[in-house]
Amino acid sequence: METEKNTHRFEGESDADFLLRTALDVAALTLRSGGEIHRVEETIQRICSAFGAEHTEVFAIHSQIIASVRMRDGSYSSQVRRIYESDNRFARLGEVNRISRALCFGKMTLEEAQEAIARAKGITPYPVWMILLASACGAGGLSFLFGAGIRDALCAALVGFLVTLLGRLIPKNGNVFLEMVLRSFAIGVLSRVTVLVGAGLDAGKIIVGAIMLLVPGVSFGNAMRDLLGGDTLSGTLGIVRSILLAASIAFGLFVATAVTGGAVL
Amino acid sequence: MIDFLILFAAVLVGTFGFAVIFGMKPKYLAAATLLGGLTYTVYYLVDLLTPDLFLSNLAAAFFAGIAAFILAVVYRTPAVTFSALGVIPLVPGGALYYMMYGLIAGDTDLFRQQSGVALRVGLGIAAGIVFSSTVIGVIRPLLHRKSRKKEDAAAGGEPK
Repeated sequence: METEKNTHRFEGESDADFLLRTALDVAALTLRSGGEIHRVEETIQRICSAFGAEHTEVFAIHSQIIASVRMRDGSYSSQVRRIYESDNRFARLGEVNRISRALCFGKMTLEEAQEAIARAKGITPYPVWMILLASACGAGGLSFLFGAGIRDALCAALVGFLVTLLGRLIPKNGNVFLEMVLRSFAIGVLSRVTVLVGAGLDAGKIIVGAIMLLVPGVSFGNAMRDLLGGDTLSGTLGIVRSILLAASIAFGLFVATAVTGGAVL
Repeated sequence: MIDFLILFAAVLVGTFGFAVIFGMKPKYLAAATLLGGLTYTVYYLVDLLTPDLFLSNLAAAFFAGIAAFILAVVYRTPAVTFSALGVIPLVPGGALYYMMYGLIAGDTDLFRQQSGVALRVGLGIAAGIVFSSTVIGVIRPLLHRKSRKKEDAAAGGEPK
């Protein structure tokens, strides 16, 4: 067994409290970088048993991780982490995964892991201007799938660029739904404006392309997978959240339609 | 054919954009972009054979899941980073939007029709990914045993 194999290596440093704290640091960063629930739970299980835990319990949902660990000498620790924001940050996810593997294979100590986690937190592979251009690519490219022509696609790209820029400028107030309403409102108004100035042809197609940047497609897909894979609670929470986000987007667009006084569709 | 090539190019551009937005490592960008294009190709081909949205999305997502697993093994990075990007071209953004729009604007017919589309596409993608991870769950232990043997050998064997 894994536990048997690794215990002797880490004798004297397997303090339950510090072990669980480090395992939770790794797991929390996994969750915040877009990792799946089962990955988060497995990460804690594996790290703890690699460092000589006799018994580990983990429960994770998207906003919280609860874990407890009992060592061979009977020392015990139980800790809770609240996760406030998570985002798809795949380069960081890959790095955290590397740290987790290194810990499990005994190639890294808990102290080294702490330093590595602190470094991994700052990973941002692309500067802001590249993210803005990528938003233009994403919105413009995918608008073709919804029937846009080249003119509408270019308009969608422009709207995507501007709305992402706007999203960076708006100070984060903590309410993600309000933020979605504001952004989709901006998409609705800007798309309408491109048609009014004669650049775009069909505001509906421009909107559908640009809102692909906001649509919680990946989190909806992950939630469905959690649900079908047996994580009923996190799946349900994820789906409810995705539906509320989609409703916020629709509401913002609806207000935009009312303001611009024309059928956006 | 020309239509398809235009769509394929558009999907490549779109997936590339999302790969950058999701902070994919620069050296994996090309693979992730190509995966998006190929997933869409699978969807397009199955869609020609059957009009059923559920089946075409299931097949495409299944392909994306398996391909993402292979890429994850090759690059030693979590498979979800590839599979999430692979299914981006399948996400029913339009249907979701028209569905919620129908709800808020009080257009019941639009809501009913589009929610059916969104649900079937969403279920198809999820089922495809789950199906692929089930298949991988069967294959993985075999690969794992091999790589563990290799790592033990590299460490000179574990003195026990």
